[in-house]
Formats: sequence, structure tokens, C-alpha cells
Amino acid sequence: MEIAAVALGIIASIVDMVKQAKNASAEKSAEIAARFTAAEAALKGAADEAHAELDAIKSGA
Amino acid sequence: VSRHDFAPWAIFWIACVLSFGLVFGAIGCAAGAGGLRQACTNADTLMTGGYQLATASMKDAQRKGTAKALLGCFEDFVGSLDAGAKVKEATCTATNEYAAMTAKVWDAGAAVATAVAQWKSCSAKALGGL
Repeated sequence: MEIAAVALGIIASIVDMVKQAKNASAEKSAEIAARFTAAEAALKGAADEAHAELDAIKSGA
Repeated sequence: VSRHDFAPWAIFWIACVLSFGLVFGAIGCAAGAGGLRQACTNADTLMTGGYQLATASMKDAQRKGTAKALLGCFEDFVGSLDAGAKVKEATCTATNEYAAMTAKVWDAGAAVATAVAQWKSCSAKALGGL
């Protein structure tokens, strides 16, 4: 029975460790997601500008 | 060994196996998710730089009156960037991710350097022919 108690203790502490790691990972993921969204917006803006420039040259503006 | 002795050890080993699975599974998922997002952000930055370089170069060419001569090179350059951006977009919006997808996005980002080199060589040739 003592071994079972130790085993349950190990499970409890590891579940707690995983919970903490998950929280830290969620914070990091939010930071990465924010950077990703900003970089995507910048890319779209730059691509639109390049296409507008291409169209302007093609139309002889 | 009696059945009575065996049960706690069985629980102990099952606990060990489950715990290691949980820990390494969680670490693996976190590393994977961050990896693709980082590759996508890197590709976004490189492609943005490419488009900005293309636009600035053509604005400069328009001032110098060489824009028409560079039109073909400009179209190729923007076309290469568009192709890379499509690959990136398709991969980075996927709900499931695999290591191969992350590698694909890193490759799309790295291809920007090739597109820039081609643009430079193409524009130098076009301007040399003027």
C-alpha cells in the first residue's frame, strides 16, 4: 500500500508540473502569436504596395 | 510474489510510464507549436523585406526613368515573393502541424534570398542593355 501511495504522490506532483509548464507555454504561445499577427499584417501591407507599384508602372502612370 | 504484493508495483510502473508520457508529450507539443509560428514569423519578415526592396527599387527607377526597362525583372521578383507567400499562408493557417511543414516554411523564407539575388542580377542586365 505504501508503494501505491508513493505512486499516487508521483502522479500528483507530475500533473502539477505539467500544469505549470502548460501555463508558461500558453504565455509564450500568446507572445509568439502576437508577433506572428504583426508580421503577417506587415507582409500584407508590403505586398499590396508592391502590387500597386507594379500596376502603376504597367498602366504607364 | 502474491497478487497482493504485485498490485502496488503495477500501479507504480503504470504511474511512471504515464507521467513520462505526459511530460514529454507536453514538451513536444509546446516545442512544435512554437517552431511553426517562429518559422512563419521569420518568413513574413523576410518576404516583407523583399516586397519593400522591390517597391523602393521601382520607385527609384521611376524617378530615374528606368522603370519600364526593369518591369520584367520586377514582375519576376514580385511573382517569386507571391509564390513563397502562398506556400507560407497555406502552411501557417493549417490547424495541424508537422515538422515537414515547419521545414517548408523555413525554405519559403530562405527562398527570398534567392529571389533578391535574381532581382539584382536581372536588373543589372536590364540596365546594362539601356
